[in-house]
Amino acid sequence: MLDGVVRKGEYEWEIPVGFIKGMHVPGRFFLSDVLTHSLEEGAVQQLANVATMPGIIQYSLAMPDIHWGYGFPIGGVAAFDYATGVISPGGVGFDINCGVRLLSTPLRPKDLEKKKEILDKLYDAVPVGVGARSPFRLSDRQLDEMMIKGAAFAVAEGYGVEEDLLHCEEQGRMKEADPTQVSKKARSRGLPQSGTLGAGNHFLEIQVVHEIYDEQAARIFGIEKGQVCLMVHCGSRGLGHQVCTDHLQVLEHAVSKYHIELPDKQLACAPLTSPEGKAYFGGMAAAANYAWANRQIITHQIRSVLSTMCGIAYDETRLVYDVAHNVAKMEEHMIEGTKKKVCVHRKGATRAFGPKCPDVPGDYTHIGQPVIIPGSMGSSSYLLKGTQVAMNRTFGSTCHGAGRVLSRSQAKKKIKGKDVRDTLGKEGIMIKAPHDGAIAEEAPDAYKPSSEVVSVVHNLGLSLLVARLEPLGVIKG
Amino acid sequence: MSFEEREHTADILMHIRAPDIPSLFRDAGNALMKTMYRGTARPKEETSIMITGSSLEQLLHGFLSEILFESEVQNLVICEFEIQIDEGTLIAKLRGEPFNPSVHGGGTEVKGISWHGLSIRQEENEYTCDVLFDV
Repeated sequence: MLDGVVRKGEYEWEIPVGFIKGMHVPGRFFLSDVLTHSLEEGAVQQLANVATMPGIIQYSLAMPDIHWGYGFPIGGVAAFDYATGVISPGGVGFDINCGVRLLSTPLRPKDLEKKKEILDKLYDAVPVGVGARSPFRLSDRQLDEMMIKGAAFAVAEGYGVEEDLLHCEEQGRMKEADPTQVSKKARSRGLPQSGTLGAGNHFLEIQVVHEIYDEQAARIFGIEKGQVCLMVHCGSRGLGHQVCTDHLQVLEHAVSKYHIELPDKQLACAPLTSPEGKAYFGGMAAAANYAWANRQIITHQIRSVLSTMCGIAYDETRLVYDVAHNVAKMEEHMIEGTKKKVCVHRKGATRAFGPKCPDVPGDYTHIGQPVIIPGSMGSSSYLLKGTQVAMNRTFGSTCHGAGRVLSRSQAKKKIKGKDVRDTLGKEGIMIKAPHDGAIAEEAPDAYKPSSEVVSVVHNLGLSLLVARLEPLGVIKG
Repeated sequence: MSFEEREHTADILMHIRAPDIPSLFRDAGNALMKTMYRGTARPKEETSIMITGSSLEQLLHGFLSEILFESEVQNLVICEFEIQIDEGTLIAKLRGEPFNPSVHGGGTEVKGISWHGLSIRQEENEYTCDVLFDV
């Protein structure tokens, strides 16, 4: 472990105040011994940097998928006091409301005799990769509605069923959305991209439930062993990316206006109560809503393909849940015995609200919020449930994925896309991607083992295992 | 062209070196395009941009963000940059050709230009900078 970092428990490590100048609170991160080998100094530095931001409460936190990003580390979580704290695009990222949704079906693997054709149809129905354009044409008015209503806009347009909305974090809509804080540039990027997957680590995967760890929770989430599911990972596309870019410019000036000292320009921020802070939050929420609508439109496309190819009814493909893992939210948390309004930033971290918490859907309220942790391409994904431990210790947060260990260039040097395709093909996992380079970049060996990351949050009780899903077919963005 | 990719676990970190500032900006633009697209493009179409900023870093960040925007919205693979910088204002002509998946496909989507570690340094006879692309 790096000099100055102190072990606090089997899976807990602390960066003490004083590790760098100006820290208001300690840093705290969660790693098993195995995962400490891939911890980067840059990620620890970034976690310490976050601890210098005004109004941060208790800890600058990072989940076991921590890695070096920009601004916050990926896997970073921080809560800021509403009255004295700040909001920062560096704690959200360019891909606002990048997130994951899990769909269940009544299908079994034996029903997927035409798996290749199904993947081909899904690939045609959901545009992927750089330069992909949507078949849907939005008017300016529709784009406004999409940013205000989120997933509900898509459902009202016929792309889903009402029940879907109950199974989305925030019911697929942040009410604070303010489309007037979304620039013309951002709108022009968002207009042609609704219902597109994007590129990089975004994916659409056909999976099978391989193992159930918690029968009661699985039953309530509508999951059973041997069931075919689909997982979608994508975000707010160019619209969200541009909202981040635009507001970073404004917030850079706000840093000097409000006399905030920061160790990294990417942490540019403004007080939550300032006009600049409110403007970013409104724009960010609008982009978050765009992302929920985007995943809802993709869901519609999946349902349509499965209805045609597998003969199941449209609403037999059911939304288990949809989580955001790049977002800032106004939430109430108990801080030293007092309920406080705070702004929780989760950058590469998933909300993991426990049983009976607000915003957990009524049918899941006794179990806790479903937490969806995608694995790297070709590896296991997990369904977990939120806990009171997470509410007490991490502002209701847990990990979001496997976390990279190899850079994209290292991955491409060491791994050939064709070899990954062949290896996974032998295991019965088909891949469709715009090119083999994308496969190499996202190969399983470029990531930490998702099982190890998930076992840390499970052992700490930050979220608890419900089911493991294995891939059958992957569409890579 | 004088840019090379440096190791960064999550994103793409480019190290750029050039004998003068306009060349540094041009090579940063080329680094961005080579990240996003494969193959070569010809200067068939032209668009122009103007950026203002109080520092060279602000100009570079604005320039790259604007190229990213123009490329995505106009579906343009940019191969030539004609850059003029004068007292906090950058004017550039961008030339390229429309994105064709069979020719230019296979690159990486860049979500944004990070401010993380962005500084322009003068070292003897050249200028250098590191730019992180969020992918």
